[in-house]
This record gives sequence, structure tokens and C-alpha cells, in this order.
Amino acid sequence: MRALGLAFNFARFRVIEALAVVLCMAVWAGTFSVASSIVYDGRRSPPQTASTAAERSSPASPHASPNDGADGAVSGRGRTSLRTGEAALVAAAAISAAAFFALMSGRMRRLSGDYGVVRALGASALTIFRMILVECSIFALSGLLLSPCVAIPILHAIETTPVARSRPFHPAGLELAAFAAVAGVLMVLAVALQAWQASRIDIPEALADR
Amino acid sequence: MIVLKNIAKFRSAGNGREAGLDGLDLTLGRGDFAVLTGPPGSGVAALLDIIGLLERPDSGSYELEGREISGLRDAELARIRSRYFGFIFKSGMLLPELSVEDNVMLPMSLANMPRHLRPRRARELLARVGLENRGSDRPLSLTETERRHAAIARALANDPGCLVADEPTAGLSAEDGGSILRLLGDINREGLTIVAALRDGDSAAVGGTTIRLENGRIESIVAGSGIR
Repeated sequence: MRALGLAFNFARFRVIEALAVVLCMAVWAGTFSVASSIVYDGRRSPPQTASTAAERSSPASPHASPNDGADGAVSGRGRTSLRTGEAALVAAAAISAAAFFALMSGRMRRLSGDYGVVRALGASALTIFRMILVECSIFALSGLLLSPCVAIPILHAIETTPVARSRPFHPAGLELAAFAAVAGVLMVLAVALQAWQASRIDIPEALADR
Repeated sequence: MIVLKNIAKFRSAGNGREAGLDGLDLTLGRGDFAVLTGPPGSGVAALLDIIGLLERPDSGSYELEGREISGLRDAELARIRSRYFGFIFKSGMLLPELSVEDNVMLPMSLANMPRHLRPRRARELLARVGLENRGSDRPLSLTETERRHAAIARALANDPGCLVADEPTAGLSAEDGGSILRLLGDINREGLTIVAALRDGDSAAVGGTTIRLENGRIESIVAGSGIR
């Protein structure tokens, strides 16, 4: 509770900065989910007729063919493609997490002096750990929730191109769930690492740097 | 009462390490005003950090009010820091995003003081240091001297037993520095222990017990004659 209060106290006057982090997060997650979907779809799907824009705009489209997931599992060629597609998704998730990590690292470096002051005034390492965990989690979740706002317009733009018309976007729920799971795990690890690093700061050093 | 025995602290130097504090013994009684002075690298900063529990000694014993605390866990040290010590850092170090009043309330929230008591306490402390009308301002809109006063108000937030001040007059004019020292003197006269790293000239003005360090050891202790 105290960590939540502190996180709020720290974040509330950094609205612009917080929004910037969330927006960057959304752009990264959105762009890479689009990119990975195209790579995946391009390698997996044979040319098909173009589906409607409404069908294609939703990443979790219920109109996805029920055979989409099975195709890859049945044929040898499909299996290889599925692995390639999954690798692309994992890479996209990793890059999203890395981008988030880099953003938060920069933020932590700038705020390490402030965290040093708060530690000196009586916050334990665990309190700082929780505080950063809460703060980063809010940014990450907000970014992920906002990412469709970035992804969908990009998808719409891409769908108008001739290449996209010949290779329509039909993601299967399983692959999207796998992407979300991998992105989620990497994000949690990135957040936990940030929080751990911030909680381990050397107080006199942080104060001197400030 | 704070009792340090045979305190040693090493720091890295070149390929090896050297003693920043070398078997130092020191006792601070309740209500003392101890002024630490010494040239750069003499160990003043390290000693201040160890007294304020910002850093652990590499060896030696630290007794606070009769309790050995050098082996305590981080969470317990943080709890003692928040309740027993008030810190006045070099250049104030207020958090720029918080208002002056929020800065003063920060240690209260870390010490779990009931929420409804904090604003009133903060306003009282700000009034005491002459900033009663600046509570809602941001630190950057204050003058340097006002920021130091606000830092003193923050240090008093949890009614500490000891104030630890790291060069509270650094960078101020003689007149502004004097106002800080007078304020600290007033606080000390009320019975609060103060340990402060000060320049040689300032230590004479304060009139507290001057402890001079050299090469990680206490070179001399000169009892003061009270605040002038």
C-alpha cells in the first residue's frame, strides 16, 4: 500500500514523462505486433482472396479460419513455416520488451538520485522494489492496452497495399496468445530487473550523483 | 546516545583498497552538537554516512541507545533511519516534482504517520523555518536558502532523535549560511542531537564540539562553548 502511494506520488507530477513512456511502449508493441503478424502470415499463408477490412482489422479476429492453426501442424512445409512464424513472434516480443527495458533504464538512471533520497529518508530496499514494480507495471500494462490503437491504423494502412491484398492477415488465437505470453513474461522480467536494480542502489553514491 | 567503536571503512584506490575510516572510536551524547571537519578524503563523509546508517561499516561496533545495530537487516536499518534520524543533505535535495509541503510530508509517509496528521505537522514545521506561505510552491521556485530551510523542516518531520547534516551551508553566502547555523543552534538547544559536516570557519561559528578527522582517524576533539 505504501509502495502504491509512493509510486503514485512519484508518477503524478511526471504525467508528461509517464505518457511518453506509455506511448513509446504502445508504439513499440503495436508496430512489432503488426510486423511480426505480417512476417508470420506471409510465410504461412498461401495467396488467398482479400477479406474485408473489418475482418482484418481486429488482431483477435473471430473470423480467422479454424484451419489456420491446423495447416501448420499437418503439413511438413507448414510446420517449418509455423516455427518460423513463431520465432518471428518471439523476436517481436523480445524486441518490445527490450525497448521497454531501455526506456525504463533511462528513466531509472535519471531518477536514481531521487530514489537515493527516498531510501535515505527511510524507505527500505523492498519498498523501493515494490514502488518501481508498481510504477513499471502500470506503464507496461497501459502501453500494451494502448498498442491496438497504434496497431490497427497501421494494419488498415498496410491492407490497402497490393502485397497485403494477396496475403491477408488471419492470425490464429493460439499464436496471438503465445505472443502475449512471451511478451508478458519478458516484460515482467524487464520490470523486475529494473526494480531490483533500483532497490540495490548505493545511497551515498546516488546522493552524490544527484 | 551513539557509540562507535573501532569503526573501519575501506574504499577502492587504484588496484587495491585503502582505509577511509581506520579504527575510529566516537561517542555522541544526547543533545550534543558535533561538528565534523577535515580535508577532502579525511573520512568526514564516510563517518557521516555511517552515523546516519546510510552505509554500513566494514568492521566495528555501532550502538544506538544501547542497542547494537551494525548487524541489522536493511529493512530494520531503514526503519531506524526514518524514525530516529533526520537528514539535511548537501544542497537540500528536495524532490523537484513534489510541492514543498509534500516534500516535508514524505518522511512522514515513510514512517507510516497517520495520513490526517501529516498536513498539519508539515505546516507547523514550515512555519517554524519561516516558509509558512511557500508550502504549495515547487522547490525550484524557492531561493537556495529557502530550500535549505525546507530541508531542515523535512528533517524534523518525524521528530527525530538526531539530525545528520552534510554541509548544510555549502554554497551559501556568510549571511545565509549564518541563518542556517542559527536555526540549527535553536534546534539543538531544544535537546536534539546534531551531527554536521561543516567547513572550519562554520564550525567556529556554531561553537559545538569540533571533531577533526585526518586520514580516517580522529585528529582532535575540541569542546565548544555553545552556540554564539
